[in-house]
Amino acid sequence: MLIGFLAMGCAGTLLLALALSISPSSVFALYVWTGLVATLVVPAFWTVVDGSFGVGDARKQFSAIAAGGVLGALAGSGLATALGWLLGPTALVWLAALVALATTIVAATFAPVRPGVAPVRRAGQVIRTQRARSYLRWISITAVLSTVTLTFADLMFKRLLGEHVGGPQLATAFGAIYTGLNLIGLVIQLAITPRLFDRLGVGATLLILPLIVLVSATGFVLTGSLVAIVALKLADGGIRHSVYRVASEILFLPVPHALRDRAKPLIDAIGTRGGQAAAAIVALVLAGAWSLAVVTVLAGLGWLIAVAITRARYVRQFRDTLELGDIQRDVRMPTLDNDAIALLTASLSSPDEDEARAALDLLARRGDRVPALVLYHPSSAIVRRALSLLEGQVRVDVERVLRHLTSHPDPEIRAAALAAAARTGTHADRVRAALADPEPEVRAAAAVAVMLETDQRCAILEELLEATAVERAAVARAIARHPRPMFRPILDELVARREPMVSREVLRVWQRAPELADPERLIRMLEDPRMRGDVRRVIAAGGERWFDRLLGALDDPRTPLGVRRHLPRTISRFTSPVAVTALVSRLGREPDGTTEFKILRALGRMRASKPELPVDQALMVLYLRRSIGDVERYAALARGVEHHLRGEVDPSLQLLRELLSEKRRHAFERVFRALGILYPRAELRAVHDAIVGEDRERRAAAREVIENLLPSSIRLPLLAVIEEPLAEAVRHRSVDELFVALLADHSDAVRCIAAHHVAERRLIALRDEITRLRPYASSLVGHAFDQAIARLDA
Amino acid sequence: MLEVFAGRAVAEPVRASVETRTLQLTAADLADVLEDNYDLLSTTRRGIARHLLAQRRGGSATGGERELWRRPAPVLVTGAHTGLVERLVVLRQQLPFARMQALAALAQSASEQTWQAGDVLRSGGDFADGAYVILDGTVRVHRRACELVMAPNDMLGMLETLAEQVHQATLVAEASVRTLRISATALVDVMEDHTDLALALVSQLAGEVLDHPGPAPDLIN
Repeated sequence: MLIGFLAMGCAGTLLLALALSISPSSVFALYVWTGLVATLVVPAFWTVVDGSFGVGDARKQFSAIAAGGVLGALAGSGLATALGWLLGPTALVWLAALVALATTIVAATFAPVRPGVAPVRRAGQVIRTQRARSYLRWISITAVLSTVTLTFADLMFKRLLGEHVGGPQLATAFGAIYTGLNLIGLVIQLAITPRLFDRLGVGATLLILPLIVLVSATGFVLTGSLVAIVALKLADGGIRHSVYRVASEILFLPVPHALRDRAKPLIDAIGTRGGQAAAAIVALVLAGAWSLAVVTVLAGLGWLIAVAITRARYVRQFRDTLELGDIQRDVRMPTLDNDAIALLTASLSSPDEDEARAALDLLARRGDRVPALVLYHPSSAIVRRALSLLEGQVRVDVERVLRHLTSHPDPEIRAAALAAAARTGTHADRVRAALADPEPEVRAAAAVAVMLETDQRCAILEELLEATAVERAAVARAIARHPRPMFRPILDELVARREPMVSREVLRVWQRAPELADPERLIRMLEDPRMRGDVRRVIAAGGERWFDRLLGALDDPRTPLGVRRHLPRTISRFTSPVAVTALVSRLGREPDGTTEFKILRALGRMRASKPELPVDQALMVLYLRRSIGDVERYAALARGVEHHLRGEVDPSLQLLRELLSEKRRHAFERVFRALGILYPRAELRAVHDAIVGEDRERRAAAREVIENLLPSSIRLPLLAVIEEPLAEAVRHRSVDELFVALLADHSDAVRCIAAHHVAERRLIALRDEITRLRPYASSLVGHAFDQAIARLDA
Repeated sequence: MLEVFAGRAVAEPVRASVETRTLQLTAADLADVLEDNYDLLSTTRRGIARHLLAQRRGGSATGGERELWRRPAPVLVTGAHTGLVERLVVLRQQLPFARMQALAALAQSASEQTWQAGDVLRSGGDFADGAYVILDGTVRVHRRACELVMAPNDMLGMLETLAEQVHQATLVAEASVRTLRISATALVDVMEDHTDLALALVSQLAGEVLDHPGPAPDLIN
């Protein structure tokens, strides 16, 4: 398309040069023709450029490319001035046609050809395309409003200049002003634009020009001062074709290229010419510079708002590139009307167990009584569930069925029926008879029912408690049907035996009745991975009652590590501002690295599920900076190992290399988890995955998201560790210095391996350093240090 | 699902024979869910390990005590006592796909044991409460009428520990034997603290299942 437009421009200019030789009045056609060529060629040129660079390279290269345009304008006007004296105006048109021909040949030779890529249909492509179209609409709105505003501003400037400068001096004045502005623009393009992008990012850079225009125009409206207009013109001339132009081109980059190639020329044409035409029509009816200033302010305000909206969507476009997904976790129950209740009641007799159970649970949740018919259900699970819901006074028909069920062939149904009988105060004779039942499940249910009645343990109950784990588990299940305070000592006895099968049943009781649980015993049970999930469910069921105990355990240095490491996740179940505050305050001072990471994960989970939970920003930023420092430190250690120990083949050295690399990756992950806590809605997991991945396009997209999201105090150090310099100087000047750093690292594994190597390489000079660090080392590291010292002394 | 866990391409194309509605869960989302729900991850790990164990017991007289997954040539660790570094070297050979931090945690919680000739390390029928790596010496594996001798750097009992099942074979020390033992509790703890290890184990187990033909495992029970 570009080559075609250039060729067309060349041919048209040649024809017009010929026409001018014959008829000088063709100059009006020349004026229109140059405008048409510029409208077609410039957008086509930038379309080719946009397709040739990723966003990372674009920020560096676009400034230089745009500077070429400014330089060309300066050189062209200078050359025209110099040659105009010698050749005359018509000859200049021939010269322009020749230059256009040369440009066409150069472009045809060197313009990049994008290879055809078969489109890959990915899930979500339709949504992504719709969002891209909406984004392009906002770019075009921004383009139109920017042109309208700047055209008003330009007309206002010219009108004022015309009022203050005499007719003969006007041409000279315009020439000098525009030459000066082009020079300023060139300097800004080359020296300032790249730095602005680095410091502010594309989004914030886009706001500079509309802000200056708005403020200057408002200043003129309020004060009538010429200084405001001069400032406006300086900004327009210096920034529009440099900084703003480059930033506007970069806005197109995240759009899929097929869509971009079709839409961009149209947007550029409408934005530039359409905006100018609209502004010119409005300016025709306006009286003076002040009126133009007022419309400039109004249009500028619209422009600023459009830029802000486009900026947000720019980031959104990069997120689409990262192909973020989302998991819907909310499931809400509908409210029940009469039809629904009738349907549920009918479902109670459904042969589908899941359907019947769901209907039963829903009706129970409403407080409806259990109908007798469900006690005849063919599924024993449904019958047991229905029996568990029986409480207090029951209807006669239910009471009759209950009696029948106390001699049901299924022992679990018999047990459930006995429990229901005890709760409803019926069939005491059947309960006593069941004490001799051959099944432990039934005997346990009867024994617990008797204890409910008499408030004493019967002989059968004592027998069951002293028998096997199977019997004890049956006792726990029987108590679960009547979770009363009187059974608390029995539950404590059962859990003290540390039998997993029995402990699980006790935890189920505590989940139903948290008031029966001993908090200290419960917290200690977190150490057992087989019980952990159930323990957490009990703690969650208990509400806030144990919250202070959990925090106390986390603060207590005597808490075993096996318990401590599982407290953050347990605390995170509370999802309250107090829990967040407690965890954040401990994040920076937690001595155990694994627990620290778990606090981080717990906080991430809490903020992800409830972003409105307040978090101490200052503490989190402090932690973030420390983690960024860790990334940098481990990178430096890894570089030191590569530099000083290159070529050494030793399995443990390979371990060290892997460990340092992993430590750096892990510290990087901590950085992003901390960022996720600070910005829970920013979906930073995908950004992290893109940064550490191999895909350049996704990395560049992730970088753009970071640039637009984070304040410079965090962004700059983070980008410095992301853009790991290839040839950064090795920090540790000698092997000894490297190992001193390794021996003092936070990680026990790094220190142990370092001590091993000191001994392997017989670095006697480091013996004193190891001895100095020995008293402060953990037992594992201390053992490694002792081994190293012994080997060095040998 | 196994292909997703193993990170492999689907072997055969899947076509809908009639109008079909499906729910899709991407691999990344599945990893997220498993990472946040350790119970589910444990259940998945257990299910796949049990299936693999059943496959191996069906095909092998020794019940699958040989290598669980391929690894490079072993580096033998000698010496009176294994420190953290030696344990890392050993565990790295056994679990080449694991990250260093998870291995360091395992190494810290592992215990070194010494057995005399004739000692029974574990009996068939015992619940699998840990895995052993032989550091020195040899161990004889007895299962049904078959026997096998395991040498240094061989790992015993990992699959049954991951499957949370009973051992089928009895292990007897042939001479003085040193082993590194990773208890089931420690392994589960480390897997919960380092879910990347748990996910990597699931991936390896899924790959082993795919490499052996047979019906797909029931991952829930």
